[in-house]
Amino acid sequence: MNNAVDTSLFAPSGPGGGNEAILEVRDLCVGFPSDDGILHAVDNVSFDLRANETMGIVGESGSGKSVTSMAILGLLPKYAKITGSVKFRGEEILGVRDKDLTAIRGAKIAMVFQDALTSLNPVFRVGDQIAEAVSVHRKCDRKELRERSLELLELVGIPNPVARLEQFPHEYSGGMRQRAMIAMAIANEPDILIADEPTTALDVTIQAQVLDVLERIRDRTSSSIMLITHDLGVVAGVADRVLVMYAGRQVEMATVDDLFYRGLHPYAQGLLASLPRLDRRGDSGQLSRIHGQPPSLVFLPPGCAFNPRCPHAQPGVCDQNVPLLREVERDHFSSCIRAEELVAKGSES
Amino acid sequence: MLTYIVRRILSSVPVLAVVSFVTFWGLRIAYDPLLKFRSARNAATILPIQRKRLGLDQPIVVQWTKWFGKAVRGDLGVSDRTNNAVWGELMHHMGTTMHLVIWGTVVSAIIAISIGIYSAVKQYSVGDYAFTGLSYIGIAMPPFWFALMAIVALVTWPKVHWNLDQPIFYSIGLHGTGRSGVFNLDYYRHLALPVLTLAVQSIASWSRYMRASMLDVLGADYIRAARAKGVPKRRVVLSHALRNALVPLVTVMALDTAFLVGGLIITEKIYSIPGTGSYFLDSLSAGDAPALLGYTLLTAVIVIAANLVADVLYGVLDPRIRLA
Repeated sequence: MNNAVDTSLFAPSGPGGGNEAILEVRDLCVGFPSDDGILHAVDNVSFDLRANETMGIVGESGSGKSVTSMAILGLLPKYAKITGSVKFRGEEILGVRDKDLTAIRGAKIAMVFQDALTSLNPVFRVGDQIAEAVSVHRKCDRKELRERSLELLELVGIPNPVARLEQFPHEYSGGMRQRAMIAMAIANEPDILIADEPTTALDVTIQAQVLDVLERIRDRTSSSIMLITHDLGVVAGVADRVLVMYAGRQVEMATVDDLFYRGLHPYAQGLLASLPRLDRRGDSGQLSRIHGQPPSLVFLPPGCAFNPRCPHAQPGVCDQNVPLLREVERDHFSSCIRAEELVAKGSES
Repeated sequence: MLTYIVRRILSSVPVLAVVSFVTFWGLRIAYDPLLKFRSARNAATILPIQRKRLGLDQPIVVQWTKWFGKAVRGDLGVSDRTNNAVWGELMHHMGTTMHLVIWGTVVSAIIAISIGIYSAVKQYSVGDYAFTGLSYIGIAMPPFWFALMAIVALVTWPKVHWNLDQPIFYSIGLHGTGRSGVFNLDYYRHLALPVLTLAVQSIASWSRYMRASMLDVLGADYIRAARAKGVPKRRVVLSHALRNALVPLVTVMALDTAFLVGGLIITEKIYSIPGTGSYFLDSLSAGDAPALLGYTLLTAVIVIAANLVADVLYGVLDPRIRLA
């Protein structure tokens, strides 16, 4: 638990480097009290979000992706035990009063949620909900608000925006709802857009359109995007850098190319190997998989949380101390204690 | 919307027919309309004449059909007890009851919703536990007992203890002798106790509904999304959550209010208020069949109307169930 990561590790470097970090997350821990003990949803997570980059956060369900993003915005319930530090443009935003956070939420850091149907208030018109996102942060008259809402709906590619403004969320299709959510999130041109599984509930065609909207908006407003997903395809398509999480811990952080072509952590390698590929067919025609089940977040295995499932696990090595995320190659971090060993082994064969 | 309302009104006619027929039948079994003639000296000659005059020689379905046919045109017959038209008497008494119902509902709704919001937002706080405990007590207290205790504590005791000429609150009627109107203190001094009696019960149960409904809504994704937009917490609760939380409460409130219109029997009796409840009780002890029939029909109409109002309000609050 008390294995603080050396902050100097995150000095901007490598491809896309030179950009300053606008969000610095350090040693973020989130625990939820449960009947069996503390549930460690996020365990010692540290990363930087640089200006104008898209960072993917990947992991399976329960790996702490969403909790991380909600901790950043202070949206977790009161009983959550949160420690660590989150700095936005050098200013601490973790643990500050809710009142002070409202000025940042939606204006500086905005969020797009996974399920757009349940994330839109069913009893208010979509136009009013978008207008509200603007009006809570700056005073403007009705006409101005309406024009801005209209502009936003157009920006995210909703056809016939004038009529759509007056409609309720249940009159929207799934893809349109997600676009409306995005419109709301970008209403104040935030510096950071956190997209929590924005495409999970959508079919592939709509998914591509929504991702396209996100990319267009990032380029237009030069904001940074934190894209939370379990879909490696989405990450490969839009992210610059990727953070892989497992059981609430960081296991690998690298540029997309590094991760996909030179993955260092056995878990990340396992994830990539499990993707269906058109160009390579396995002997049995079956997809490869990671054996076993994700661990309980209350009773984590000793040492590396992945060691019971890891094909490269060494008894007496991997099950001793919780491994730290460290820079194994330039701008390529892994928490695997045997990373160098495995790289050497990989290049031999 | 209009088509829907018309359709609902038309479809309520069979319901009213069944309700009134069952009442009609039951009253015919329970009461003998010829009772007052039976003990007459010339009973033997009078009875057949009266039986024919009242139509009692015909099958019960025919009797009921005649009554119902008149009833839907607003003619509920003449009271056996007072010899006045039942319709007029019912309307008069309902006017009195409405004072209690309107005040009781408005006061209860405002307080219950406020308590419900507070308890949900401050879940498991001392205040929440206190309101939970109080509401159990409120639900458990029978109105007749509470009414008597209220009279002792708020009328008799202060008068005796402080040697007052007049009690602070009155426990009889809606107005003092020779007083009328609603824009004077006398009216409110009369109104306080009966309204308190029925509000305690309504507040106790409605605040529980409101708390549960609000808790449900506060956990919804759109509440989190509203907070993520930067909407201040107060506004999230009072604008985003409140309207959604009111939807389930509306049905409960509408139905409870409907029962109040016809069902304030005990409260009205204790505070000697001449409303529909008192009218029902007097008619019942006198065996006044036309009055009882009229009362039952009116109560049924009000319950059906309240249901309709609840459904229409649903649509106003929640666009997803807007009716065609």
